[in-house]
Order: sequence, then C-alpha cells, then structure tokens
Amino acid sequence: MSDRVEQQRQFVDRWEAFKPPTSGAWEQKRRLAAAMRGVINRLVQSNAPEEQLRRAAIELERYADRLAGHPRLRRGDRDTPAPAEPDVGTFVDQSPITGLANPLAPPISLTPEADWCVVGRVSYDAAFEGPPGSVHGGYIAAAFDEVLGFVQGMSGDPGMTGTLTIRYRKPTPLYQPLRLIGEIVKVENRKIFTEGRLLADDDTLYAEGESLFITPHPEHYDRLIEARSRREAERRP
Amino acid sequence: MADEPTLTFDRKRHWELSPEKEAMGAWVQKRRLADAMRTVIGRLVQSNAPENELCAAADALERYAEQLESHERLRRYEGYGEAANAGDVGAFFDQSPMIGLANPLAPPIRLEDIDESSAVGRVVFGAAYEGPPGSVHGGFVAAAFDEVLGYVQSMSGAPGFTGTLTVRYRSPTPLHTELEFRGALAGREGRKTFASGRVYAGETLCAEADAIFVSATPEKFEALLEERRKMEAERES
Repeated sequence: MSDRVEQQRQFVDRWEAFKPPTSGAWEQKRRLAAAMRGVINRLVQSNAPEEQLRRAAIELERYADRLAGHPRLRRGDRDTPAPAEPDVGTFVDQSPITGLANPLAPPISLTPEADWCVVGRVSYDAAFEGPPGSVHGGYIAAAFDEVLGFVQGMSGDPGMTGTLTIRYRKPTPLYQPLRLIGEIVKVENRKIFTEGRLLADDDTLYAEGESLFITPHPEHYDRLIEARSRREAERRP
Repeated sequence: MADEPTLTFDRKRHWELSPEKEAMGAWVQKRRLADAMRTVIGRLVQSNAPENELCAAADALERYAEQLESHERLRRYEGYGEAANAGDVGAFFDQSPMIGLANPLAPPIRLEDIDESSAVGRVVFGAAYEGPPGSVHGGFVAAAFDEVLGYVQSMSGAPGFTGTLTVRYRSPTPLHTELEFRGALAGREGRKTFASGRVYAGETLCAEADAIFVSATPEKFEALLEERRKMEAERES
C-alpha cells in the first residue's frame, strides 16, 4: 500500500512539473484558446449575417498564415525543453481534451484525489451537442479515454488504450458541472484495468466506462516519434 | 414492444440535409469561418508564436465572440422541417461536433452510404487531435466510431441513442492520413440495434468497435427538447 502512495506522489510531481508556466506566451496561448472556444460555441448557434461571417473568415485565414510562419513545437518530443525552462507544456497544454491551449478541449480539469484515483471536472458548451441539450456520446467516450488514460499512469508503468467500453445510462446535459471519476481496479503484468463514472453534482449517474491499458515496450514510443518525423518530412517536400 | 412508436426517419431527407449538400448564403461563410478556425487550431497547438502576437489575436477573438453573441440564436433540431423546405443545411448537420462543416470542433467526418445497411466515414485528423506521438487521440477514435455507427444504426429505420460502445485498439491511428471508418448494421432485438465497425489507414486495421443503440420514442426526443428550453431559459435569466 505504501508503494502505491509513493508511486502516486511521484506521478503527481512529474505531472505538476509538466504544467506550463502561467506567464508569457503560454498564458496568451491559453487565453487565445479560451477566446476561440467562445467563438466556437457561439458560432454554431449564431444567426450572424453573411458579410460579417465573411470578414471574420478572411481575418482568421490571414491569422492562420501568420501562425504557419513560426517554429513548431511537438507534443511529447524527447527534445522539448526541460520542465524548468519557460516553453514546456507541449504535452499537458496541447491535449485535445484537457489542454488549456487547445481550443478543441472543453477542457476537463484533472485532480488526483487519492491513490489510484482521479477526478475530472468539466461542463460542456453548445458546440458539443449531440441529442438535444445533451453532450454528444462520442465526446463522452473521449472524456473517459482521457481520464482513465490519466489514472492508469499512476500505476507507474503507463500503457496505451487496449479496449474502451462506455455504457450510457441517460443523456448527459450540456452546461452542467460534471464529475468524471477514474480509478485503477487492478494491475496484472503489463495490463492495467480501470473504471470510471460520469456523475452530476447530485450524483446522478450518466455513464460508466471501463478501459484496459497495455504497457508498451519502451521502444514503442520512440518508434512512434520516428514515424511521426518521417510523415512530417513527407508532408513538407 | 414492436408496436411502440419510434422516431420516424426519412433517410432521403437526411441526405438532403447532409453536409454534402451545397450550403447557401451565410452558411457558406460560416463553413468557411469554421474551416479557417480548424486551420488556426491545428497550427496553434504546435506554434511557437510570440506573446504579443498571441495576445493581439486573443483580444480580437474575444471581441468577435461578443459580436456573435448579439445575434439571434439558432437551435439544432428546432425548425427541422422548415429548414428542409428552405434548403437550409445548417439547422441540423452543419452544427454537429463530428460531421458539421460549420462546427470547428468537427474534423469533419464525411459520411457515405455503401448499401442499405452499411456506410463509410472518411476523415483526416490534424495535429490538434494528437494523443500518442503522431497518432490520433484514442478518445477521438472512439468519438468517430460513435458518429459513424450512430449513422449506420439509423439505417434500421428505428434510430436511437448509444447504449453501449466498445472500442478495441489494434494499432496507433495516424494523423494527417485519410482514415476509413466502415460501419455495418449487425442486427436488431426489440428496441436494440447492433452495429459494428472497423477503421483502416490504407490496409492497416487501427481499431474495431461494437455498439448497441436503443431506439428512442418521439416523446423521449420531445422531452429532451423541452428540457433544453428550460435549461437555456435559466441560463439567459
């Protein structure tokens, strides 16, 4: 049991160290991501006139061109600066589900609460609508994958998702504060078994999930980074 | 059981309203704006842009979000019939967070029928959807299956909501690569519809999925719409 507590402590320390600083360019990037979320959520519901939308589109096309002119960061690269340096956070901040600098992320905020347990807090805005007034089931599955993917890391030997199962109990409302609790159930050799529940403030159960993670051999991750570099080189002749 | 009413589903009209149909007027610009935002999102997560430039962009987008807020709001699923008659694609599919051309969250997936009981969803995920290095986040692989199998189950004539979704990950799903999510109906039992699918990158099988959908009654759908009206009235007061 004390091993688990120690592993948990090390995991949280590592995770904290990867959080980017709350100043400088990263802070503005997060602000920009938040502003984009505001636009995304209003855009899907807005009856804005054609001319205004056209002007906004032109501005954003120009801005996209400008962004392309800057050097690129890569998520999870071994050669990204060490955590003590200012431009870290490429991993935590870029996640499409929890990343504050990624406009796709609702975002879910994660808090490790006990050993082998994490709580994700989130509320979904208009752009995430599936059934009327409800969160799209696909984004619920994605949330489980992220939260269970985080908690399995507490086992000490993080793996990659092998199987993910979601059971939807009732429609999950938009705009409401939600909790997604993830736990490690057991670890067997390279397999990590996890479970999670998506709940309302009053503990109404919206969905349950379970996921099996498999710890890859260490070379696996390096092979993925190599493959990524190769594909990126191909995209830029 | 067999006599219980289910949502009626006119597949022809579904197609008429699909994102493939040409948009008109403001929707053309909305799609263009969404597309520009996708490009910004894809570049933003990887960009090493300077603080002052990010700050100026955040300022501009915050102002734009406010401007959007001042227009009348559209709601998905309301005015479905009127929209169909007016040839307005936007009211329904353009707002989807997975296939909606006017929703910047959507990669977007393009759906196409194969025959009466199967369909394919084609999609390329960009940098913002990264999970493992160079690979699509497992959560978005699950989300895409939910969308494609959700479309396939509607071919049964008794569409419903996702009950259970299981995804088995076989090999990392590459970014920047055309993926094919192939889905097929796998049977019906009472109110349950079964569907299964596979995602391929070229010849490589990346993941497989099974889903059970539970057909929805028109009352259930109406109840959700009513619930949403209440929720939005509360938010606006």
